Amino acid sequence: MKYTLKKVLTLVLTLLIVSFLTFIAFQVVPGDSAVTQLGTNATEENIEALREAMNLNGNVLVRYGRWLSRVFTGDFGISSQYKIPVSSLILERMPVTIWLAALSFSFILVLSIPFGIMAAKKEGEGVDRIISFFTHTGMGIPPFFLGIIITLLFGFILKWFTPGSYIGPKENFGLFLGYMIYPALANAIPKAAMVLKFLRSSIIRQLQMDYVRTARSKGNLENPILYKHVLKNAFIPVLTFIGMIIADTLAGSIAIEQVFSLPGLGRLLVMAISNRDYAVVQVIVLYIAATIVVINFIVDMLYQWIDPRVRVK
Amino acid sequence: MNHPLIKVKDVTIGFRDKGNVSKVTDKVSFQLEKGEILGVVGESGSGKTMTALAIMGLLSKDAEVLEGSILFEHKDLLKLKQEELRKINGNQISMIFQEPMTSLNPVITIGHQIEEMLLLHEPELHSDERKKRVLEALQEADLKDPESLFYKYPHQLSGGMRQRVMIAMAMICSPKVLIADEPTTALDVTIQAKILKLIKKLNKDHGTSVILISHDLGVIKSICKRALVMQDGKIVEEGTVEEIFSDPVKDYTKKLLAAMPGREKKKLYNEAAEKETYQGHSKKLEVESTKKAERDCTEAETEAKRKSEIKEVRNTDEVTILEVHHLDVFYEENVKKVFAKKKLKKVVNKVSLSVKYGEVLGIVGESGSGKSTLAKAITGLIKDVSGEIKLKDKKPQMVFQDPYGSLNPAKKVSWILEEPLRIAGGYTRQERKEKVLQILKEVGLKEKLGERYLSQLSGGQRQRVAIGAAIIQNSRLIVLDEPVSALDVTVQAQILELLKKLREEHDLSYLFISHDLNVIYQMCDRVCVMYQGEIVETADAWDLFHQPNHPYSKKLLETMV
Amino acid sequence: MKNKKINNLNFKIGISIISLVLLFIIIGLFYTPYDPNAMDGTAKNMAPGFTHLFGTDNFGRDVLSRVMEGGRTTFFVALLTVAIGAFFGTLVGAFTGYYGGWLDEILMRINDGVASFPSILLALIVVSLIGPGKYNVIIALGIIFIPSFARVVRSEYITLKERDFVKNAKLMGASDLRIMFVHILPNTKAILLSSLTIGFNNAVLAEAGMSYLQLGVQPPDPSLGRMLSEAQSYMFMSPWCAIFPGIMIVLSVIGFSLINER
Repeated sequence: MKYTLKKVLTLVLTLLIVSFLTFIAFQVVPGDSAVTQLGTNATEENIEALREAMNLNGNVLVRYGRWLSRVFTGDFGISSQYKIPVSSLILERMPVTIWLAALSFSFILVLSIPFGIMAAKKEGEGVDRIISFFTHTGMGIPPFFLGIIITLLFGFILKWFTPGSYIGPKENFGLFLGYMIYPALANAIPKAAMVLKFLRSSIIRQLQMDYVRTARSKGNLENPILYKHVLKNAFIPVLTFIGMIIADTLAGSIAIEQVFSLPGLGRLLVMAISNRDYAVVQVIVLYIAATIVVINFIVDMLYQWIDPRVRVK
Repeated sequence: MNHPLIKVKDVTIGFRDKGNVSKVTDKVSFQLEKGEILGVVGESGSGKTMTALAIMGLLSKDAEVLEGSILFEHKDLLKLKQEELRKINGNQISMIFQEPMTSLNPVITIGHQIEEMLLLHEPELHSDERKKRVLEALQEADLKDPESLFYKYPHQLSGGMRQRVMIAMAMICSPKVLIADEPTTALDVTIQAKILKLIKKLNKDHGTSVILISHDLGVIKSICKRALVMQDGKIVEEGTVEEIFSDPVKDYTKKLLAAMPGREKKKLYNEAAEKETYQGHSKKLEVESTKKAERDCTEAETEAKRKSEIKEVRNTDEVTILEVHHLDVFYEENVKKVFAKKKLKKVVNKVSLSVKYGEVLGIVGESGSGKSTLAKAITGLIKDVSGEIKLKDKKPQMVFQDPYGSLNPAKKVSWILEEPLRIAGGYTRQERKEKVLQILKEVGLKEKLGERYLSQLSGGQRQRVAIGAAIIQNSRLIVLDEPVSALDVTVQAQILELLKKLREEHDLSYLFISHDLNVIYQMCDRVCVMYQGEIVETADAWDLFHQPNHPYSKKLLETMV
Repeated sequence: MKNKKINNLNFKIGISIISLVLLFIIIGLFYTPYDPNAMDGTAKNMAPGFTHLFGTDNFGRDVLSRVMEGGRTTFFVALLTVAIGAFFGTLVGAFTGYYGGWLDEILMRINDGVASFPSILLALIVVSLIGPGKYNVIIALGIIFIPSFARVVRSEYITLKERDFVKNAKLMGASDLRIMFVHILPNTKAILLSSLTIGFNNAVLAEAGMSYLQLGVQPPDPSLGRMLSEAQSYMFMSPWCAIFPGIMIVLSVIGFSLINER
């Protein structure tokens, strides 16, 4: 219980720090955004009004406080490139990115866990080597290049889907999912390879532990040893790794959305950076950062559940 | 007579690598009778553990039994399928291992780990009944409060308790054979004796035959009737413990016995001598000729002789090189908070001692008694101290327990030996080179070893390098922190000899720290006994070993099997 | 034993791949079949053949020459990035690991925070502030790589400083700096080397990713990521424009990760 409380406090504190850093980072942007936005011909009053609206007056802490309270009410300001509230932009794009991440993550688990166990069980044998070949190749391919290959192979050559024919989830959910499979795969395969490799070596390491010998001496057969004794231990380090992978999956969607022209947050972020639309950049960065912090929190909680040594501390 | 329970015949185990086979055991044959405790003794690498693992069918993937048979109740265990073998494992033959800290699964409760035995071998039991049996087994292994232990995880238990859990687990199905592989090596001396007693008790109560594997002759002698001596994968000697200890036939056994330092050895020799006169045999005991006189003497005479020998060496003026008064040493606890004050825990309490020029002062105690901490405080490695440390000479140097950790693995031997001279400064490159060569010779290492990395050296050779690096700086006081405990018995003896020789040649004083009473007795003039951070007794070595005053000293001496 | 053999094989394959890639880039330093930026209106979107081994893009530029040049840019960026990260990371890691204390605590908390964010995201943030371009990418990635090196080196120092050989060196009277950089540093060689290869791979991937998003290396400098993004619009017509630079990235990443397997 104490552990949980401590972790919750850390979570809140980290979120505050992250939000502050995100806020502060975009305060060092060179030039006066208000002037940039209105052009040099604007009147003093207009500029002053916009400065007020853009929260450019007062010292840093005051402005941070004001910004934070606006964030809580969902008011993120106005996008300079689209001239509409940032919040509605984000809400519109968010589902695509969340779906992409969720699908990618499912693919990662489905691909890595069974094959990882299989490779570890057959360490050094043919199956292991074949899996290992695919792991190495998978890890070496940048997701966006894999995306291009998938587009070429399944889109242009096999014609299983039409590249660029994205359909929103509200229009036709089935078609939406059918299209999303490909970007999700492109995003998932390299990360699945990493998880697989990590899981494999973790299982192999655990199989050499003394307690496995004890389990054998008790008369256990190999499969029960693997599933009852080894896997739980082997998953402990993998858990942290998966936490990192989720963060990577989120970041990976930035490029993947570009490849498959998905109207998600990643694509919005890239556009916003190119167009110096800082209000949008800031919010997306904050969103991704907060998600990562929360994921790490969840991983910590899961730890407590899986590893008794953490529980007592 | 009954059939033997286990009959091991001509078992050869080897590692296969490509086409090459390297043998670990060579035609090992022995029998285990019903109800007996059979000792298997030998140094690490002698193949004793491999033989045990072969009986259990637990050899690692790259090792295999090349020939031979292991008969258990008329079945050849080596020919059984894995499924059949695993029905015998745990149920009829069970095993406990050296490392109680890692032998239990860290994420499963104690109760469930023991219960698993019953699930595997007596699946018909009801769950209530299973739990009852587990609690009984824990109780029988002398574990208190089995009910709460049932739901605990291994990391919540001490090493000794974990080994008891292992024993409870191994015994729950009342196996016919228990194999104990170095069951006490990782434990403290006082706990060692208790675990051995427990094994003996279980052997008596259940009639379980035991194979006890150990490198420690003392352990073997304490509970075994019959023993095997293994060397380089072969059984070199077999017989009753009495025969082996009093009348070793093979050179290797003699060497092992000779390497058993100090009092224990003498005790054995005396027993042997007694037996000799009693039986009227005139069989000659072939021991190294220098030890011959010692053997024939009574203990007191030997001691007098030893003392006079030491006197010759010792500097006549009895000036102290080191004086320690009322020393408290604190240990900084790991606090994982950013701005928390450091928490200091007192580990050494009001210790006073002195070392004279040319003297060897021993400090003996169990692990955790604070003796290593004291050593580090004296050399200045630990700064959190209060009290007085008066040093009359150059800064003392130190030789650590583990020669694998005390020398820089990224450097060559000659670099390591040269480094103190470089730091001290004032030597030309040529002078440094010469000095290194001289030291290599003094510690008994060949010149060409200077160009090697540590990974290419044996443990004994590394410890020689460590000793060389300590004396090259001309310090008169050397602190030796368990300098031989990480080494094999025969190597131990050689290193102790080297230390004696260097003391004479360089007129050194030693502060000699060890948990091993035999080693202490062999090396030291005076001894301090440490217990829970305090020195409870300081006395001349002979006096301490014959008339210990403090109750703890007495208890400690009792553990000297 | 078996494992060692496999790893050895991995290592050999890795070395061969890397040598091949390096050879390709080194040749590119002195000789490219065509000027990488020369457009040839008569040879647009030509499939790979004898005149253009890797074909041409939609401006008629020779893909082989551009892959050579682009590979060079990518490697240059990655190398400098890793050098910056490793140098400062080792310094920070050595001091914080050796001395510990509250500065170490604070730095490491920041480090942990930074490390839990994907490097490409951080790089994008920095680039959004200082603008795109080859040197800005190097600075952005270099700074972002410091924590990962510092973390590895620090944890090595924390364990190594407790080892008896360090205590031995203290007893000899060695100074802190000598202990840190003469006694301890050589012992981190293995782990540092593997962090270098991992870091290099991450840098290649990050640079390619950013250039692909058109936020990294800017034209006319060719870079592998940039080539991929330009090729994408003509995927159906001239897939080779995407495939060859992609393969170049994949090969170098696989090569280094195989070396690291040892």
